[in-house]
Amino acid sequence: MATQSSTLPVPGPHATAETAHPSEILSPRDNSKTSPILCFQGVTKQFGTQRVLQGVTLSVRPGEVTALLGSNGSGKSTLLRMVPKLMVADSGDVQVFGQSLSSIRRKELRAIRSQVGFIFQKHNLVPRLSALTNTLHGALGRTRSPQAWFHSIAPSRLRQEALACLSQVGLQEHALKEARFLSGGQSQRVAIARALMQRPKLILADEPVASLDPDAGEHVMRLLRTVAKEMGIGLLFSTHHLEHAIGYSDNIVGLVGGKIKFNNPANGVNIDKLRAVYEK
Amino acid sequence: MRNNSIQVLPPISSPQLSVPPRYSSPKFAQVATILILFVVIYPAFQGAEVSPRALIEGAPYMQEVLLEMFPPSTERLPQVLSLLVSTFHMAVAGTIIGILLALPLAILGARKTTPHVLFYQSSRLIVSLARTIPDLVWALFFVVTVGIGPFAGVLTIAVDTLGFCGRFFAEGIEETESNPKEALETLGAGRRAILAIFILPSSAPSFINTALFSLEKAVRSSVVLGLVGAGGIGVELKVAMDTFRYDEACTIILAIFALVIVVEQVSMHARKWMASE
Repeated sequence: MATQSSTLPVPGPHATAETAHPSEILSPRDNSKTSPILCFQGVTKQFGTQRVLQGVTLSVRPGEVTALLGSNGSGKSTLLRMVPKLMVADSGDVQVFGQSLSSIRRKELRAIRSQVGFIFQKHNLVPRLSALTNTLHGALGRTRSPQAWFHSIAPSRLRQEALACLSQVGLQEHALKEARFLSGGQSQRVAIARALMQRPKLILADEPVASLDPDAGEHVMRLLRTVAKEMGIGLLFSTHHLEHAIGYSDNIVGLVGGKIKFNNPANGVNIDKLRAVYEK
Repeated sequence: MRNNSIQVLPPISSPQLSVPPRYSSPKFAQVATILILFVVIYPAFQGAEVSPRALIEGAPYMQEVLLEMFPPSTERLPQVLSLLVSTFHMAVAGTIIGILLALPLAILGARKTTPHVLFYQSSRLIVSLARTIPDLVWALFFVVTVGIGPFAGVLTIAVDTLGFCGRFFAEGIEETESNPKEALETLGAGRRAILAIFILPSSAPSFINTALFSLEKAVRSSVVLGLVGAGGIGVELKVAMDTFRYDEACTIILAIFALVIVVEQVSMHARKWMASE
């Protein structure tokens, strides 16, 4: 892994679409003037005696892609899971779309969740339902009626929107296939389509390619970056692949023992610095 | 090759290898368990008057009854078949009512779906009550309350099915994966939506499996319910035995046997087909 990463191409400023490194397909926007959509401020979390996060401060802006690097147990997943409040910080504050999660009401949390796409390591689709219905579930946060439960009872506009999302990830041909019959890569793409159906402002991806083969992994990462850049969605993803962090993100954040060791632009990043995250 | 493999193994008399003893001395807990079992089992046989002697003495009478059973009488075959169909109807109706009652109770009685601990405890109590009281006792109760006839049998089977399905449906719900549920929660899905789009579709194979087992069980129990007046073919069997018409009783037993086998086979194939889907 380390040997491989030392030869990784670092994106240059004048690459074309054909010869470009993935991160140059859509050049990073200047996000520095927009206000962050996600802010962690001095976040700490402890499980028993183990300190998982220690004073983490980090922000993500619209259209910005941030990679989280760190060895197992460094707190990457815990940090991501705090955003939809699947976990709560012991101290510090998490702000999503400018709203603090510390004293949020159930209804407000639901509204926030409906705009935050979360892509899990193992897609977490409903196995016995079709790809189209699973995609449609992205609209669950928008409507309390059963309209988004199954594609067969959904109104035409929702069905069309779900199909458009599936088509965006190249799976419109598999719309009626049950999720359990899709390959790992296809399932992860349906999970992305489901996140797109949310019309999200922010996408969180927890090791989205960990269970995929290299080709499928590249495809998924390329897709995530493309949708983030094209639609101005903030993307925060965790990974162990240094080449994905360099190739597909604007910023790389290294977590070691629950603390941020570095937070630098991906362009021109020092590989040794990234490797240091995994040194024991 | 052989020499090589011998060389890599340590010598047989290697002091590094300590061969474990064949037997170890029994632990106190093991001895105590055996003693307690003996204390329970021996009085059970005594109390139930288990007597090999009575069995040997009864053998000639058994032979006599068995001989009288054959050939089976076909004299009342149409009535027997009609009662058999009615018994099957009773089992199907009772099972369906029981399943419909069990489903909401299972949802309330599963930790993953219950809205409150009070609902959880109450539904578990109802299901336990339905399951632990034997079906013949329920049959006696319904015969007294709604009168002799198949409806008492239907109600008995419904309660019995409620107890059986209520428990196993709830277990099916508990066994559903947690990850997709969590994913739906992060999408902003409410409790009702998660139940409809994830819990129920994911538990459906387990529900259908349980429902088929309960139908088999209902067919078997609907046969004996007639003995206490709760309708079905059982009453015909009781009359045949009481009037010493063993050849007619044999026809009824064979008809029951055929019905149970057919239902079991159909159910088994349906379950196999589902598993392969």
